[in-house]
Amino acid sequence: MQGELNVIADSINKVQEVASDDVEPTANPVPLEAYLRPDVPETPLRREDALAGAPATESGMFVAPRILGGEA
Amino acid sequence: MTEANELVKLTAAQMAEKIRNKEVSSRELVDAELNVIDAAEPDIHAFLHVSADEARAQADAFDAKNAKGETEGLPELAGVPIAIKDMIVTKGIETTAASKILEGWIPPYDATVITKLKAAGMPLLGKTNLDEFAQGSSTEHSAFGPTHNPWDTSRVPGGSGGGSASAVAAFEAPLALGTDTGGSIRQPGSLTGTVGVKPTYGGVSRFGAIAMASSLDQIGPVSRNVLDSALLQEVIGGHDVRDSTSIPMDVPPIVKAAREGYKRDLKGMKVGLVKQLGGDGYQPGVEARFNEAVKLLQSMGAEVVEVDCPHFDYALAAYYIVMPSEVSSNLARYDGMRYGLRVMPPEGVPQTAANMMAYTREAGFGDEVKRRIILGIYALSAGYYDAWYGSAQKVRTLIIDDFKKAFEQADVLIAPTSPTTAFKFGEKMNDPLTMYMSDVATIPANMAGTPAMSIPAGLSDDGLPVGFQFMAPQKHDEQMYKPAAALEAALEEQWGGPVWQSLKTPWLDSAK
Repeated sequence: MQGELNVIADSINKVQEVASDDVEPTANPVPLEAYLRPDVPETPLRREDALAGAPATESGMFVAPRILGGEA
Repeated sequence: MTEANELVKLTAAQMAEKIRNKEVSSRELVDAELNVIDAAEPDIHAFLHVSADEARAQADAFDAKNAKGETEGLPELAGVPIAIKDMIVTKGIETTAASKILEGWIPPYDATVITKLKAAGMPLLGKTNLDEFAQGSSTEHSAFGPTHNPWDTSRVPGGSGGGSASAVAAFEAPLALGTDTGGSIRQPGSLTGTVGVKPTYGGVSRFGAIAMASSLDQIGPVSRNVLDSALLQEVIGGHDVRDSTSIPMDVPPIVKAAREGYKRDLKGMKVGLVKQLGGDGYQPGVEARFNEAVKLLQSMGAEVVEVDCPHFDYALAAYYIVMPSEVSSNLARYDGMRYGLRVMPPEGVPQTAANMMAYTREAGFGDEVKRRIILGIYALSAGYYDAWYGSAQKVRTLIIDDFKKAFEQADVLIAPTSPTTAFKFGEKMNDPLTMYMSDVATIPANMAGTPAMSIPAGLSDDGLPVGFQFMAPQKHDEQMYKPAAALEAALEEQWGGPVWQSLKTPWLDSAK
């Protein structure tokens, strides 16, 4: 892994050769104006469909392991 | 050779014509392809899942409508079957991204491209293999075993979309969908002698495409000829309010451009040869086929000029900052909470959510995916974001400027698709940098959002296919389809038929 981190370090050095202050960064290569989609109601995913792939569910909800540590 | 075997060798456009003329049904096409899949899969392994029942049901539904004359107004490809890269979600059909973390996942919705294919009456044959989460250039990083190249089964088909490319090359499907983040449609096209197209970024909706690197990912067609890809892109392309990067415009006139191209008249067209994409690292056999194809373009009236794109030399480095950064962000969603794999920590380890996520990801992700997530997290380190990710984004601006200047001198740019022909399994697995070099000529188009496509340029001296790449300006995909179709027609005249005439297909002989 150390060798591979060097690869990304090399990449960083390489791009910094040409990434001068006067160059604007590009996030989206095809610039678009933000727009709102038409305000038309749609049927969303049904709850049972949304839950169908869950590792654990209960009473129509996802079941997560406890968030905090401490005593098991 | 049986009649069904002749059927699967038709182009998608020819299949569609036979359907319209009632010479063949969609069901007959589906059955013929399923037979080839049965016979080919032990050697090729292009599919992760074959959805035979669904495909037959869709075909029967289409045929019933067609008999009643209710298929008027459907796209030209109506009734023609297609294979789908397993990076695109399909309602009710297992979708894994070739990862153990999604093994067994049945999506509750369809990607927009799937909705469009279904509306067009195009049966889904199944889900094709890929490098895990589309991360790789050989399909060797699939969690479910690699795909083999039909031209030489001891060699890779390229990647990440090696499954889609091999399925189409091996006549298991006339068409397929791929996703292209750094060349994952075009490089496998090059290595398998097929056509692969990355449309303009935003030209095809990505709603339902599993995200890898969101500022680069694009869905596109895979086929055995240029016209078929154009027809397919017209089916799947266009604006979609469910994808915020989808461009609010109609699909450019690409089918018209392809048909125009088949007239083989390129007078007045300027073709830009990219100085930076060739030379060192490119196999002589690849360069030889490329140069011959350039001469053919000239013989059809195209004027070839050399264009200088100095920042393309920085594209690979910038890609290897942008891509893993976005991968590390996108793949954070696989947390064992709502879908996919959940692995609880062993006894004695606190049974917390954080520990569950760690054990889930350790078990669920393969080595290459872990490598890219770690590199991405490193590249996005607090306090260094602007200096690192930001610098790579600046290089994107410089690459876009190079393209703009080049398109002032030329209508379309050309380069080999990949520096080498198909390599042996294992050859590049221990050397990620050499593997990444496979995409050196395809990455600039992803960085700039420009459309690009690969078509077969013939066979190298090793008997393996070589790809020829065209790149067009953003939102003008038609500008590459015309010369691509012209070159395909000229090459096929020289060869006396398609490149696959030279492909040995023992599996077709054993197909039922």
